[in-house]
Amino acid sequence: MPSDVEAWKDELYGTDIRAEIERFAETGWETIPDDERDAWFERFKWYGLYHQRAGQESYFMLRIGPPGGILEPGQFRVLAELAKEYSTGPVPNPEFGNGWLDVTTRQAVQLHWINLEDVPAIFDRLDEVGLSAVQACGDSWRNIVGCPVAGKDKHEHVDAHTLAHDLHDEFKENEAHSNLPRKWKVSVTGCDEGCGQGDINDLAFEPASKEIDGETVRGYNVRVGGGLARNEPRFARNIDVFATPEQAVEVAGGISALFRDYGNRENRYAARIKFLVDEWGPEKVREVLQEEYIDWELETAGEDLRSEYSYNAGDATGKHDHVGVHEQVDGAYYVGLNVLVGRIGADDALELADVADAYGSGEVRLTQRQNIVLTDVPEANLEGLLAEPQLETYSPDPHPFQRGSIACTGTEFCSLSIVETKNRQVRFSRWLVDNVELPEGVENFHIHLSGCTASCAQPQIADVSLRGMKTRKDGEPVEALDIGLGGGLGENPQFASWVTERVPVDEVPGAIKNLLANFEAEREDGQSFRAFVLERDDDELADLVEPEETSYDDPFMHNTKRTWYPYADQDALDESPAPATPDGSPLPSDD
Amino acid sequence: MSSGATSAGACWSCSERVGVVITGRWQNTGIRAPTPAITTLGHALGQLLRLSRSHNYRTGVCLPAILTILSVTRLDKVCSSRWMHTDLQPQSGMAISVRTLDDGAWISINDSREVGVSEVWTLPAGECCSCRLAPVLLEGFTDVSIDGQEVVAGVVGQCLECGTRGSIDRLPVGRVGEGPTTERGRNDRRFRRYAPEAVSTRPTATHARDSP
Ligand code: HEM
Ligand code: SF4
Ligand SMILES: [Zn+2]
Repeated sequence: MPSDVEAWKDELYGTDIRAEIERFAETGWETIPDDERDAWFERFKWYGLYHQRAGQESYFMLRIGPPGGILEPGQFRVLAELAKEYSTGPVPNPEFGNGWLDVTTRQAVQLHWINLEDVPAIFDRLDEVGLSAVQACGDSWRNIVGCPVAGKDKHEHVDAHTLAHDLHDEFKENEAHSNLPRKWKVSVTGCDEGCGQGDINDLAFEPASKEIDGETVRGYNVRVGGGLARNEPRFARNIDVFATPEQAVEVAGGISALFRDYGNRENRYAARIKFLVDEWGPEKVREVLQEEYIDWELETAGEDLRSEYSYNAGDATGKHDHVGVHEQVDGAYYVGLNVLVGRIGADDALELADVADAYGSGEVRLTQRQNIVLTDVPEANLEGLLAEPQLETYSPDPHPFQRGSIACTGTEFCSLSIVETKNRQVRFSRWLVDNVELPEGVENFHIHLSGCTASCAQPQIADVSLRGMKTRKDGEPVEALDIGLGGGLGENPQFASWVTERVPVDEVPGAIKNLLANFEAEREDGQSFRAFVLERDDDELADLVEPEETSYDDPFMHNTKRTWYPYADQDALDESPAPATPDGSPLPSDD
Repeated sequence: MSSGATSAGACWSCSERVGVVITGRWQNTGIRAPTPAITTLGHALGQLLRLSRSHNYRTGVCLPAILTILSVTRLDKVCSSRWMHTDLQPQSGMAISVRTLDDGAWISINDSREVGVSEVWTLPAGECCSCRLAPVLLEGFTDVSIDGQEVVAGVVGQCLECGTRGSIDRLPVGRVGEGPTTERGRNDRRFRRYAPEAVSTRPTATHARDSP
C-alpha cells in the first residue's frame, strides 16, 4: 500500500503548495484543521518549511538553498536581515543568543523559530533578491551542492558553477521531477580537490577528461547512489558514464526520471536510490538509463581526478577545507572564514555582509564544512580585511579543533535527534583547545557530531566520528555518543567504524584527549592520524580511546528531548509556550 | 492505515441520506479538493455532481458547486468542525489515523505527535535481546497500526546494556479508548501512551529478531 505521504503528494504537491501556505499564513497557523496537520506539514517541506519538533508547535525551520552555496552580492545580507527580523524564539540560546542563521553541510542556510504567518513576507524578500526555499526539503531535487569556490579556484578542471546553476534552473519547479520517491541530493564537483563531496550524494558529477573523436574533452563522470543515513552508508557508485557539460543536464534528468519511475514508493525507508543501485547494480542502472531515458549513445567513463582529492581526506596533500587566504585565478583572493558549528548570530552576519561589501565583491559562499568564504578580495584589501574585528570570531586561521568541528541541529529543534549537539560541540572544542596539545604536524583534525544516524553532520567521514546515543551512568539514563574512527573521503574513501559505543557525553572530551595522546605515543615518525588508524583493527583502536571524566562539564546530560527547549530555565514539555502567534501569545493546544 | 479519502467504485449510499466527504475536481476553480456534504447520491466516480450545500474547505466558501467525483469517504458524524473519515466498511466509532512521520521520528495519532524516538523503553527478555530488563533506545519507527484498542509500532532500536541492535515488529506503545463526546459532537477516543519504563503494565512485544 502506498504510504500516506504518497497519497498526500498525489492530492496536492509541488508549486500548488505556495498558495496554500499563503492562505494559512493569512488565517493563522491555528486554522490548519487539526486532522490535516500531518499532511500539510509534509507538503510544506517542499517549500523549505519544516515543522519544528514536539514542544515547538507552530514554529518552523526554513531552509534556503543557493546552488553550489554561492550567494551573490547582497543575498547574504538579506538572509541576515531575515534572521534578525523573523528568526527569534521564545527564549535565547546560551551560546548564540536569539536570532541567528545556520550554515549547513549541504551549503544551505537554515532559519529557526519561523512563524507561518511571516512566511509570505519572507518569501517576497527572498524572491526580490533571487533566493528561494523551493524544494529545500521534501521529496525532490534538494539544494545542488558543489565546489563553493567554483569559477575562482586554481584547482578547477571544469566549470562546476555553470552546471550547478543549469541543474538548479532546470529541476527546481519542474513538474516532471517535483515528486520523487524520496529526497534527491545532487553534487557537482569541478576541481581536483573533491570539495563537492560527490561520493555521499544520490547523484554525483565528478571532473573527468575523455577522448572523443580524437579530441580530449573535459566534462564529468557520473556516480549514483551515495548517502550516509540510517546505518546504511554507501559511496556513490560509478555507472561508467561520461557526460560533456552540454550533456550533463539531460543525463541528470534521465537519472532523476529513472529514480522517479523505479524508486520504491511503498517503503520510505528503502526509497533512496542507493537501495535501487544495491538491487540493480551499477550496470543495470546504466542499461536502463541508456535504453529508456537517453536517446544518444552514452560515453563510457573518462579519466577522473580522484587520486588528487584532498577535501575531508585525512592525510592527503592539498586543501582539506576552504578556510584561510587563497589566491584566485584572476589574481584577487578568497578568504575562507571558520564558522564554529555553522551558526552565525544575526548581528554578526550583518557585519560580515558589510565586510564582504567593503573588501570583496559582496559575494559570500557557503561550504560543506559549515563555513563561509568571502570572494574577490583584491590584494590591497587583504590587510584591512584581516584586521576586521569580526574575523577574530570567524577566523581565517582558527585552531584546528575549531576548524574541524561540525555539528548538526540536534535536540534543539530536530525530531530525530537523540542528543544535544551544537552547544555541546562548541563546549567540546573550547575544552579541547584549552586542554589538549595536538601532536606535531597535525594541522587538520575533523570532529563531526551528529545527533542520530541520519548523519546530517557527515560523521562517518571525519577523523573522529560522533553520533548520538544513550546510556546509563550511575543508574541514570544519560546522553551518550558512539565514537567512530577511520573515516574520510579522498582517493580511497572510507566510512568510520564505530569502535567505542555509548560513551557518556561527559567522558567524550577525555576520550579524545587520551586517543590523541596514545596516537602520539605509538605512531611512527610523522605518521598521519588517518594512516595510523588504517593500520589498526577495531579492537586495537577501542583500546586507544579510553573514555574518562575530566574537568569538562556537560550541562545537557539529561534527556534534552523531553524538554520543549533544552536551554530554557523552565524546560519541561508542559512549560512550552508553543503553539503561539507571531507576537508570542499562546494559542490553545489540543492536548 | 491511511486516512486520506478512500476510493470507491461507485457511491454506496443510494437511498440513505449520509454525510460524506467527496473529493472532486471543482468546475469553478479547477482544483481538486475534498468537501463535506449530506447527500443521497447514487453516482459513479467520474460523474458530475451538483451539490446544493457544500464547502470548498480550501477557500472557506460554502457554495452550490459542480464537481467531478474522484472519491468518496463516508463521514460518521456530520456537521462537526473536524473531518472524520471511516473506511468504506461501516464500523463502530470514529476512524483513527495513525502513521509515522518525519522519517520515522514520530508516531502521529489523529495528527498529533504522540510517541517520539530517542526514548529508552524497558523491554522484557526476548523482545530485543536476552537482557532481563533491556533498556532499549528507540531509533526509528518503521510502521504503526491499530490492533483492536492497541497501537502497535514496528521499531528499530538498540539495547543499551548489551549493544544488540534489533527490530521489533510489534511494540505496543499505547491504547485508544472511547473518550467522552465533547459538546462539538466529537468523540475523542483519546490516545493514552504507555510509560516507556513500565514494563509490567504493558502487553509484550512480538516477533523480535536481531539484525545483522
Ligand atoms: C473545514 C471547513 C468545514 C467543514 C468540515 C464543514 C462541515 C460541515 C458539514 C459536514 C455540514 C453538514 C453537511 C452539509 O450540509 O453539507 C455543514 C453544514 C453547514 N456548514 Fe459547514 N463546514 C465547514 C466550513 C463551513 C463554512 C466555511 C461555512 C460558511 C461560510 C459553513 C456553513 C455551513 C452551513 C450554513 C451549513 C448548513 C447547516 C444546515 O443547514 O444544516 N461551513 N458543515
Ligand atoms: S543528524 Fe539526526 S539529529 Fe542531526 S540534524 Fe540530522 S536528523 Fe537531526
Ligand atoms: Zn540487551
